[in-house]
Amino acid sequence: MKFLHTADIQLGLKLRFVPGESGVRVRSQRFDTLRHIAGVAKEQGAQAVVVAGDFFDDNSVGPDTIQLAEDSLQTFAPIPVLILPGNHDAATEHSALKRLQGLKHVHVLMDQEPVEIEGTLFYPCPLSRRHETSDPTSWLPERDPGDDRVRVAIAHGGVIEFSESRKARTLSTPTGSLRKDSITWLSVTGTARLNSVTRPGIPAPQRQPGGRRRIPATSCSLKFLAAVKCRKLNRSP
Amino acid sequence: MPKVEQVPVGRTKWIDREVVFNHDEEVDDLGEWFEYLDEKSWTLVQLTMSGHLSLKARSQLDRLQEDNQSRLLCLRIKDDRVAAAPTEEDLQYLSLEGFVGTAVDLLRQDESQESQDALRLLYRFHREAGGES
Repeated sequence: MKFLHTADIQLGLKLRFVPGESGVRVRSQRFDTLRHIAGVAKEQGAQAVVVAGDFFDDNSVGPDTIQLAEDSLQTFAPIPVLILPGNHDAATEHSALKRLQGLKHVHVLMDQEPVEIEGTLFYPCPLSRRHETSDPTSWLPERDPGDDRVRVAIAHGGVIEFSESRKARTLSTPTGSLRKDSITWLSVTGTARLNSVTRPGIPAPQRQPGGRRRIPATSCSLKFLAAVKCRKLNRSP
Repeated sequence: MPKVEQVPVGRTKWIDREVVFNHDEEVDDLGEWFEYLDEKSWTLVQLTMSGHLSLKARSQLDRLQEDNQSRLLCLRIKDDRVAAAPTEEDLQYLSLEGFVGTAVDLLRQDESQESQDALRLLYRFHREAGGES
């Protein structure tokens, strides 16, 4: 199985601090990048594309953003695209992801139900609210004896550790309950404890304590997506 | 082991830079850094500055900021911790007669941020009025 992993595209991000024509340009760039990712998926021969959370910036994005997203997603066809709700587009009743229509190759992973693509099982760990404190990977089932299929868990890292000072809060990947041999690969945004070494996504301004926004601390010029190739079961990652 | 290949797809560059000024020449270094930035029209920079400069260097820094503000996709500046103190050379340059000279004297006696800013602006206006950039 060869699949492409990306995340945090945050379509509809307003980027109000970039004014005028530049603002228009940088907002529309996200959709162009999505089309570019579709081109990479085809070049790489990816059998699936995984978007591990925050496809949209917010569940209240307008119909124009939904339409632009649908048009961009259309360019991935026929490659299946699996989209996981993250904290920005959580799987609520009004999730923006539910408004994506008419795209047979797009699978919005609202539920904790595995999806099988070309013999590989993808296990979604969707976030059902913006501020999730529980471990969304806790439902992942153990592997049955003799089952050597590739199993890919898809999760979105969230803020699960808080201290009294908001400055001291840390991002943690919710993998506490995951047994190492239960899955082959964990596609997650953030730092994973298993095989995942990537942190794909598009840079976005972060909100600082006090409500101010800042540009991420590092130079993110080469934000990447990852083309992941999994063989059958690897029990000792 | 699963094999991972990273493929860059980003178009914009996001840079967060902090600069502490200890010498006036470091404004030149910053100018050089701006000059060698690739694809400025797709680059967002957050620049946090602190330290001490002469009025002359501070004026040079203001021009550098203004120039790059229009070239970069976004330039966010935090410079309230840059103290601009007049050097002997600055004061000689500002040794003016009449009410402007009186204003300079009054501003120098007041260490508030507002007075420092006013002195800096006065220096700059005087320089621009003299045809210097």
